[in-house]
Amino acid sequence: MSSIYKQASPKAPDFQVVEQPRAIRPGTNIPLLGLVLAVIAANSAGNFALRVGMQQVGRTVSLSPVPYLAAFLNAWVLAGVVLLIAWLILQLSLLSRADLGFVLPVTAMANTVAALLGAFVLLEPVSRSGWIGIGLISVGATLVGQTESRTDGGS
Amino acid sequence: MKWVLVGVIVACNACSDLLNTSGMRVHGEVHDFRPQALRRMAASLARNPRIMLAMVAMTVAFFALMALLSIAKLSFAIPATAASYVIEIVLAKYLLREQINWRRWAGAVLVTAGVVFLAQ
Repeated sequence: MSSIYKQASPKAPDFQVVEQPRAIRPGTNIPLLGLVLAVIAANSAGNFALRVGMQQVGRTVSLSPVPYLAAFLNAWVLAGVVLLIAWLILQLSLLSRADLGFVLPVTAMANTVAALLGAFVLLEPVSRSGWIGIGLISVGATLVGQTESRTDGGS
Repeated sequence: MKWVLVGVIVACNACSDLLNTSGMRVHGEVHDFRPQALRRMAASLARNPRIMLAMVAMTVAFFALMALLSIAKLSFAIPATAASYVIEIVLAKYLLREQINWRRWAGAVLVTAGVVFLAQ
């Protein structure tokens, strides 16, 4: 009997297909560092696009979903949403391979990238304490980046 | 108003991160990023109740973030909502049974301190 088939039950003459692990095609597997960088890039770019879009849309604080859905008509908001969906897929993939205690501080670098984009592209002023914050986050993320990515017994 | 929105975002982010991590451990490691593999992954995650609950929390956090971004600067909004790092590390240690060594504690504290400085 072929290894991919097994008999479902004595009464059922048909056969049940047993799913085999799918081989990963070479070149499709993203290394952990690449995944971390992709998460940071997608998060920073998504939040940046959302900020530009919401600046164009204007003040939107409401319990009604209508103003938020109307904001989706703005191209920057839409681009931000698409980038944040990509971030979600990448973040879930990263969480499947690394601890939350590793992922959170390391991907916090997205905050510094967002602040730098705000400073240099949107020309939002960054104070001296802001630059200290960017430095502290970078040191913290680097420190955690040197730890084991998975400690709960996963591969 | 902006600090209420920050509170909602922090609480919902903590819930969604814990549920997402727990749900992805049930799902298994993701290594294949071809379109058909991502479709299979999406179909599998749609049947994962932890991931679905996390999506609800993320949706609330997302709309609160949109509201916050309309009344606050990017350089305030994003760092301020990152204040949950230490809370989530503590929850990861006790609920997800992760080993948090001194580097991770130091990193989380430095990131949180950096967030406080950045928000000023």
